[in-house]
Amino acid sequence: MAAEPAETTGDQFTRALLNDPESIRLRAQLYRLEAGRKYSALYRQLGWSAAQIAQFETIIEAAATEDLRQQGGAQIKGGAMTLSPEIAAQLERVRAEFESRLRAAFGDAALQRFLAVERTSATRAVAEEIAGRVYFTATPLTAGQAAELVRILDANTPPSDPGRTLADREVDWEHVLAQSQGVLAPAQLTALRAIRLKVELEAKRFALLFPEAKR
Amino acid sequence: MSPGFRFAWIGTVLVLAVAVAMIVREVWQTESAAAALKLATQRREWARDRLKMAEQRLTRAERDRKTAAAGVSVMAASTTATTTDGTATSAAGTMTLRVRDGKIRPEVAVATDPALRALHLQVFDEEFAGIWGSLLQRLNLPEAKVAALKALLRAHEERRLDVTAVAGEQQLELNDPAIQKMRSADGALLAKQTLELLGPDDGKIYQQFRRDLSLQGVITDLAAANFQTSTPLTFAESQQLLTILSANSERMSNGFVRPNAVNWESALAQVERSGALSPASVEAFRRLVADQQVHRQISQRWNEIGTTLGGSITGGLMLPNFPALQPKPWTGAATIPKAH
Repeated sequence: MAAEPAETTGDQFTRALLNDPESIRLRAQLYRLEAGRKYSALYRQLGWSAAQIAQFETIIEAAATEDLRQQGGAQIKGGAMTLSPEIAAQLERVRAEFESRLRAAFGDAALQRFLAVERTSATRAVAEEIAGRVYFTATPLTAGQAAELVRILDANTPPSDPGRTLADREVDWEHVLAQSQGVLAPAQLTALRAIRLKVELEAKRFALLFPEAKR
Repeated sequence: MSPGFRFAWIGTVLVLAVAVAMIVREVWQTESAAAALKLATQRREWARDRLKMAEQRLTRAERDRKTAAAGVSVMAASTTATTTDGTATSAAGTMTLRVRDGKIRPEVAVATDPALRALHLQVFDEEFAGIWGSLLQRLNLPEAKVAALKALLRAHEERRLDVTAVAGEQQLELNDPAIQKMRSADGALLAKQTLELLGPDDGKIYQQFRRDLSLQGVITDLAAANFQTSTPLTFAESQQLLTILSANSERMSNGFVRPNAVNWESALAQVERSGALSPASVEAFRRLVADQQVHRQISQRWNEIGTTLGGSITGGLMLPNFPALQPKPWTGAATIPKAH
């Protein structure tokens, strides 16, 4: 049986950072800023006013603050961070309250749209990366192409936990690339192939670094 | 439920550490590789001792990930936590995020493992158009010259991997002076070759683009942020923005933009005044600047805490954390096993 890891100076530092109210406040602000980008299309779809957007982002920031505050109770030892079942339960509560607040403020239909966007965050990130790589070409990625690409990626990816990156999911890239032929222009397909290779590279690098791990 | 989980890590790397790490990737000196290797050998024993410093292991980051901050950086490196038994346990389990202390350094793995290296170079090939495309558009080169430029850059990338492999074999840090000298020699060779290929006028444009290359991330971020609006970023807008960013960036002695040293406030003021960008792009840039400012505040705060606890921090810090507000809160025992 492995010996209990000793607490290091780094552990003390990490614990101090995780529990520092100012750090938590700032990190929660990042979630708010990220929301502005991540959900901008949702804002437009729902036709939200500036006040509604601010309300939505305030709810996210408050919930993220509470979540990060709960994580501060994690055990930090030997360079490892461990969340106890009690903390996990608290995180579940925070998430449930977050969804309740959204439902109360914007209605169930808006909540379901939010959840749908959240579920496709990894595949939408692919479309965003392509958009960033081809914006200067004769064929910049359009919103319609992005939506279709996200649909193709989701159709060729087994259902799994939302939030997981594509490197952890078994995407059928051959089908994705084949089906994307009719949707994407050549420069966009090149960018998609590059993303596929990067996902593969990341997965293989992980396997090399952590041969004991099962994905 | 599938057992694999991927966690985001937020880490901060101090200005000096980031600068040095990035400097390693660039060039500003010319020394022979042979002399550098000799020096590297002499430094081996010293380097081994240094590598034993366990606390520095804690700070080792995946330096190839995007850095994004002004003055200091907060690095969003990605790593993976995975259950070791292949099954998720009930909610009664604990969740652990463990810092890696493996013998294979992540930054060296791609350079030394044949399969990873081949894959990395494939990625290079496929990404060439996306990364260098805006330069190629400016230069409007014939296809043969584009192919020749790509070949030069690819050969340079291969040499970069070779030097990284040497660092791994010699147990040297990537910012070791010996490694830097090898990088410098490679950079000087590339500069000479590209100048010969492109000529003085195009060579000058190329050189400026290469020196500003780290700013391209801002451009692509902005393009990604507003491509679904009615006014997506155009090539002309991107050039205007690049000019503003370039003018508001600190530079190193070799002329390259100093990483994470954009004066964001000044750049934003110029963007707002210039009228060069659409309102949607200006808003996206404003958010990006706000993000940079928060990252900077976080780094400053962490530095303060570190100083309070034990003196100034050298090197970087990776802060383990589970992403907030996960739809399905973490369940099961998730550990990052030690690398071999």
